[in-house]
Amino acid sequence: MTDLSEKLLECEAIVRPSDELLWRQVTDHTWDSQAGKPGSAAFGPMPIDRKRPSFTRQSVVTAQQARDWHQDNAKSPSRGVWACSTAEIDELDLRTVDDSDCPPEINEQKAPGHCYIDYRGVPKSNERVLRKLLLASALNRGPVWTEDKLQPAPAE
Amino acid sequence: MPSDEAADSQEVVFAQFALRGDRFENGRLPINALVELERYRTILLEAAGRAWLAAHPGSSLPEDLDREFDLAIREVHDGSSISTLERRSSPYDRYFDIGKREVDLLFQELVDGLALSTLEETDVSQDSVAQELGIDGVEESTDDPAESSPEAERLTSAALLAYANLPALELLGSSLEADETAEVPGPGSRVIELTFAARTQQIRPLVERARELLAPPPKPRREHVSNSVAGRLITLSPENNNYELDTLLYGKIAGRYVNPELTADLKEVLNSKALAPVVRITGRMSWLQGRLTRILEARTVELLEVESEPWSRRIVELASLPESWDAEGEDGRVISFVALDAAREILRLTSDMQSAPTPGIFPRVDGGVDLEWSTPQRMISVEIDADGQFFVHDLIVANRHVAELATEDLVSAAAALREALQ
Repeated sequence: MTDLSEKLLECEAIVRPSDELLWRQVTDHTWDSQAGKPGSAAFGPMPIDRKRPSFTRQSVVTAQQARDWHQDNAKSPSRGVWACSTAEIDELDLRTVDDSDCPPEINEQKAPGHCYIDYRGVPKSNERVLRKLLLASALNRGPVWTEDKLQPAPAE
Repeated sequence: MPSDEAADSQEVVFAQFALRGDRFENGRLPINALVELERYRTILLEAAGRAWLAAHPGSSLPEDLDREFDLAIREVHDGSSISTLERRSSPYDRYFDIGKREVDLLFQELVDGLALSTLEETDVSQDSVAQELGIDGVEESTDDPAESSPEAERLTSAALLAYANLPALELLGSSLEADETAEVPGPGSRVIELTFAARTQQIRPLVERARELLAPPPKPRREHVSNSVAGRLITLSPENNNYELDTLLYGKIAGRYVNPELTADLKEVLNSKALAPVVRITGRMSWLQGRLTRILEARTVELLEVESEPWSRRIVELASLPESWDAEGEDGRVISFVALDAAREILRLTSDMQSAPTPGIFPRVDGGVDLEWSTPQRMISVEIDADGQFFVHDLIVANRHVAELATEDLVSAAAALREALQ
C-alpha cells in the first residue's frame, strides 16, 4: 500500500522482509498505564512523522540500546518497547526504509539503526487498519523486555 | 616558606621563550614585548599552584608561592629574540616542574586543536566541570604529583577551563603583529609556535567556549500565556474572586477571576453531586520553566463529573493535558470535555461485558479520545472527536474483515460497540 512512486533518497534503502524485528518506543500518549497496553496510534504516523513513523533495527541495536538512546535524546520518554517484524510490515504492502545513512535534518537527532515504515500514499482510512494490524502483531509478541534507565526497577 | 622543604639558591635553566619577527631580529627584545614573558610566567605559576593544590587537598595556596617562582632572563640569543629563563631553586621546585610539564602539554593541545575540541564536547553538568566550578579547577589526587606524567595524558575539561579563565592566556601574544610568532616549549623537545592563526583560531575560541560553560545559567523567565488546566476545586472565595485548584500536573495552584459570572460556575462545581468533580479552567496563567505557578485570570470554567470508576484516573489524566501536550510533535489540542463525557458514557454502557478486554483510553491530537479494545485477534475501537462524533471500527485480524459506523448518536455507537464486543 506504500505509494511506490515516492522515490527514495540515495541515502535510503529498502529493508528486505525477514524475521528482523523493528523496535518501537511507546511514549506517554500512546500508552495507557491503567490498561497496560499501547494504542494503535503507536504503530501509525503522527502528524510530525510526515507519514514515516520511526523505528530502529534489531540487526543494529538491541531493544535496550534503542530505549536508552530514546530516553537520552527524545522529548517524550519511552514507556516500553514493542516490536513487529519487517516480514509482517511487508505482508501489509508497506515498505520499511533504512535511512540511517542520511544526514539528520536540522534539529533532528537520528537514532542508531533508524528506519521508518513508509505510509506515504496510504489513505487515512487504510492507515487505521494498517496500524491496528501492526499493533496486533506487537500484542501477539508481547512487550520486549527492557529496563527504564529513567526509572530503574526497585531493588528486591 | 615551609619548614620541611629546604631550599638552596642554585639557579637552573627552566624554559626558553622565543619571539620571531623582524623587530626581534639580532636578539632584540623590545620593552613592550616583555609583557608576553610575564603572561607566560603567570600561566606557569597557575600550573604550579594547581599541582600544589592537587597534592594538598583542602589547603590554601601558600602565600609565598608567587615570590618563590623567581624567573629571570638569563640571556637573549642572537637571531630572533630567544630568552633563556632561569629559575632560582625553591622548596616548591617539584610543583614548578610539574606545572611546567602541564603547560607544555597545554600549548601542544592548543595548537593541535585538541583543547578546543575537549571543551566543545564538555557539558557543564559533567562531574569534573562541576568540580571545576566548585574548587577552582583542581582535581584532588592521592598520588604523588611528582610521579604523574601529564605528557602521557590529555588535559581534563576542568584543567582547560582553569587555564582558559586566565587573562594571561587570553592575552598571550596580543602585543604581537600578525606576522610575529611566540615560541614556547612543548612536551619532550617539541617547540610550539603560537602563530597569529593559533591565537585567533584556537586560543580565542577556547576562551569564549570556557566563558560559555562557566556563565551562570540565565535567570528563568516567568511567562504569562493563555492555556487550560484541570483539577479539583478545593476552595472558593467569591468575595475575593479567588480559589484554589488541586491539579494533577502541577499540585495546588491559586487562581483569580474577574468576571463575576464565573462565581456561579465555580459554585456549581462545588455543589456537584459527583464524588470527585474535575474542573478545567481556561485563561491567562503564569508559567515558570514549563510549570504553572498561578492562574492570573480565569475566562471559562468547565465541569467534568468523574465518579469512582475503573477508568476515572485515566479520564482525569486526559482532562489534565495542557495545550500542545504532544511533546514530540508540539501538537495536541486540549482534550474536550464533550469527548471525555462521551467516552465515559461509552465505557459505562459496556462495563457489564465481562469477556471484553480492558479498554485502552488515549488522547487524540484533535482534542478527541480513542477507546480501544485490542487483542492479537481483534481490534475494536471507538474514536470520539472533540465535538462528540463517534466512529466505531471493528477489525478481525485473521481475515482483515472490517465493520464500521460513523454516528453522532451515543446510543447507536454503544450498540454497535456491544455487538462487536459480544
